[in-house]
Amino acid sequence: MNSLAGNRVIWLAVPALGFLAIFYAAPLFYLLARSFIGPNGFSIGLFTAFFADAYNWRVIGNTLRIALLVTLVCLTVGYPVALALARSKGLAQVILLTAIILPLSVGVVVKAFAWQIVLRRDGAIAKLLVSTGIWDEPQRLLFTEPGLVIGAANVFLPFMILPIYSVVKLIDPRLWEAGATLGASPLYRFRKIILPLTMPGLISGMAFVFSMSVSMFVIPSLLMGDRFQTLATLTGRSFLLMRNEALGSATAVVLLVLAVSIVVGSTWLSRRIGRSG
Amino acid sequence: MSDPAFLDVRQATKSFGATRVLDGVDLAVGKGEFVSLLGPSGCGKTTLLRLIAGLAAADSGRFRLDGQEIAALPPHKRDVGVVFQSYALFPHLTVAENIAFGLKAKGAPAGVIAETVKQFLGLVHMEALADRSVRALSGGQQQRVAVARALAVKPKLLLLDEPFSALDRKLRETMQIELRRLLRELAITAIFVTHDQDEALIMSDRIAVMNRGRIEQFETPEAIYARPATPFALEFVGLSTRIAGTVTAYDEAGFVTVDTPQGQLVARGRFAAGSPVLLGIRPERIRFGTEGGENRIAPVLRDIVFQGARVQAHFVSPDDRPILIETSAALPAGLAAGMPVPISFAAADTLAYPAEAA
Amino acid sequence: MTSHSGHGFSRRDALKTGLAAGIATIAAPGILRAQAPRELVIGGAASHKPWVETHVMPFFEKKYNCKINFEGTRSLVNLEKMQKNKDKPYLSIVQMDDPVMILAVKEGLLEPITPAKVPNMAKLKPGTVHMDGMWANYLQPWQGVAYNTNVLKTPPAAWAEALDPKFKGRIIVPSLQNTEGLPNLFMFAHLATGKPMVEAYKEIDAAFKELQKLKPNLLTVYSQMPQAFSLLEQGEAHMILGALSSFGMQRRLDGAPIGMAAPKEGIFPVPSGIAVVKGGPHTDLAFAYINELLGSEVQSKIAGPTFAMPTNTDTPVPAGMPTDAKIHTIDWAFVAENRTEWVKRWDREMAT
Repeated sequence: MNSLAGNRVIWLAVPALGFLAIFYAAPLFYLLARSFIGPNGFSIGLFTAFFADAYNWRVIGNTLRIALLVTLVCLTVGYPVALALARSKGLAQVILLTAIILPLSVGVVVKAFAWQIVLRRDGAIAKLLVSTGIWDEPQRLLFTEPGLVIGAANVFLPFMILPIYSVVKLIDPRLWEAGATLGASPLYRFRKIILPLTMPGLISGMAFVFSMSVSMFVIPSLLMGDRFQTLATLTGRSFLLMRNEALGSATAVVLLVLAVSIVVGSTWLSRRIGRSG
Repeated sequence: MSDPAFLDVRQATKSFGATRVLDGVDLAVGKGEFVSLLGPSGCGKTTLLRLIAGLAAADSGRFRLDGQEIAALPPHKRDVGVVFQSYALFPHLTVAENIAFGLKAKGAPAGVIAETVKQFLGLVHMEALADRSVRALSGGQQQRVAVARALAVKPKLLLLDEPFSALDRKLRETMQIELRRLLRELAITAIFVTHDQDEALIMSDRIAVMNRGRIEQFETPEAIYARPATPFALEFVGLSTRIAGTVTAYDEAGFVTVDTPQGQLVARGRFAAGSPVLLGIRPERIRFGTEGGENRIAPVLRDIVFQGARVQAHFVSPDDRPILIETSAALPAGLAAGMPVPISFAAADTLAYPAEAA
Repeated sequence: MTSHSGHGFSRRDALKTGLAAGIATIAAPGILRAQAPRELVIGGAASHKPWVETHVMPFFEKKYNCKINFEGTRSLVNLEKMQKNKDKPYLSIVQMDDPVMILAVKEGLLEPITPAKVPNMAKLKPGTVHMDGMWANYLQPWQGVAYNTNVLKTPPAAWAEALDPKFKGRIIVPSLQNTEGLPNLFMFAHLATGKPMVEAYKEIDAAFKELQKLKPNLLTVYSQMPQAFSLLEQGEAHMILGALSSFGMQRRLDGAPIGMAAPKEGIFPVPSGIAVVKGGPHTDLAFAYINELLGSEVQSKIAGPTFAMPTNTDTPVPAGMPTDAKIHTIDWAFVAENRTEWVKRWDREMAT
């Protein structure tokens, strides 16, 4: 009886699975296959050529460095916000949540243009840094890596905050108090109670942000321009402008393998750390 | 109980918005004493507990523990342990890790930690489950871990916030006795918050009856039961039969004569003639027949409820108030609902309180 | 690659042109008398649709008693439409970028135009008819130097000014992956070698070396043109080298503080080509359409709104357009051969 009902329920997943199979798995398979076909059938020539080129290593380096930095910034900024959000109540929480979710409805292009205005030499950030004396004179932020990291982190921040928030919300606030009455300092309580309990949210937030920033295309092309290539911009250009499908497939596959292995690897690692700590 | 004010709270006051939750509460607890804060929900008992633990800040008042001012100390520097109503066990840790938490946080040597954890696992009979995740424990087991965890750091004072409320009745009774024994053995000073009068009566050295942000009576269970200081204490602690009336005469010995719908009754109390009063009698002090004391009435029997060792007889007075008798003795023969039955009780057991505006 | 100097035009020339157009209408050819309205399908750029519909369609449909169906899309899509329907083409005319025209010619998809069928060919400027008449340029939007008029009070007189250290981090150039990115490569070859453009443009090595000197002054290399112009308008950038006149002049007209300069080294016309599809329907109408587009009457109407230079020598250059600039025509065959290699090199050498 139960197993029958269970089997029936599985059918509910069919439309979603079918959608994914047709619009995700099939093109992905085509892409993978395409990158392994040379003039004479199966070949890994595209990849050997790709990896033999020092420039491509630089592109891989760019891709990973930016994605890691964006993830780090989102984590540092987003984690306290998620905690505050989970502990806030009533109107304050509604306002915070709206402030976090509403920007998702603004397109990436619009945001990138907005950041272009903020990052200008006469933009808000430069003015702030000059007026606080950190900078002697306005410097260029736009089309620099820090500018790109700031802009991308802004776009992806909700994807760090929301998974952490959803986990923090489930933590009994009494645990924090219990830790205090046991003589644990706030820092110790954070390290030994809050951090391990929020680890699942932290991991999914980092996986979201990392995989989105490793594959972002519009943001670097608008905030960094053409002089800074990542695997994603290289792939996009190969398909859209250079009509070099073979190269595009190869870079896309490298990107996919990198992103998947880093996300899977870091998940495994942080689970281990979470367990032993 | 050498030091009468090991914990000394003076004029503790706390409001949430416009609501005054604690209204100038004084509470002095001796070393090694087990005190219950008893009262209905919203009376301020949990708030008082949280103020003592430092989990909330008082608006005003002094808090001294073991001769030290603690009002300004953060909770982790107060040496006050808490067993929470929900237990608040750390779900990502095992039983042993939960118990070790406070010791580790204070940087105790590994050897001491291992030994203490072992000792407390033994005290709460949880040795076999030491490496079990706390998520996999039953309610009673969780409660034991919570107690062991709080005690392992050897706090000066242990606060317990309705720790038995989630347990079923049978388990609750076992755990009450077990906890009482454990705290006595370790000579722990403890304050226990409960709304369950039986629990308070069973466990406490002294009970503070709380109502509307104030302590109405703070005495031994026996004294509170025998001589409730206020109608609230009378009503909240134990069962009572209440009869309203007006004082017609008083004497120097501290007795008043009261005119009631049941006729004239004599009660303990000092009131001027003409004062409206409420008379309270414990149901077990009322006897069938006329031999129970000076006050004799004959209300109509409504129902008899058999409760095993005891029997309750419900009457109704002419002004439609319930009158309750509780007895362990055999009932007189020939009782039937609807008939008037003579009953009696002593003037000394009849307590007069000022009548609240009805 | 060819270079030549543009001609000045006067009001009188404009009058002459109008008169000529009037006479052409009176002496309308025999196809006017055809009975049922025929449909002429044109494949062009989506951005052309507005001016085609306003300035060309009503005029042409009335004059030749036909219907025009303008399919506005991208050049590469037009090429695909021709390839797929090679056996039975439904497009009569294509309006595409010159580099795509080369591909179409290689696949044998185009029908050459001749002065006999298209009399206005004779009036065209030099360098506007390509590959023995396979296609012609009806308009020349051009690429020069766009500058912020708040920052630079006088238009830059030379492309080489962009190398001045005072423009550190203030110059924008298009990516070489964009078609409009190519002129800078040739201009820097010219600046490096000092040779005339017709010889210099093949010296790509020298060009890349010279471009290194530009790097400290680069704000960014754009792939999205609107972004580059918004940076220029905001004053974050001071110049765009190789800016498209059609875009820059439109922004200026909209009130942006932008000027378009035609510096002394010259400017580059942007190829707006038109060609007849081989074997397409209504060839007679197709040639007539091209003749009109190459004619002075239509060109004088569309040159203004598109901020382009006319190719018909009878047509006056609209106000605000350079009249005496050196004009360099790009050797698209050379580009097609080497572009992939250049982009690869550009990525490596221009990277931050």
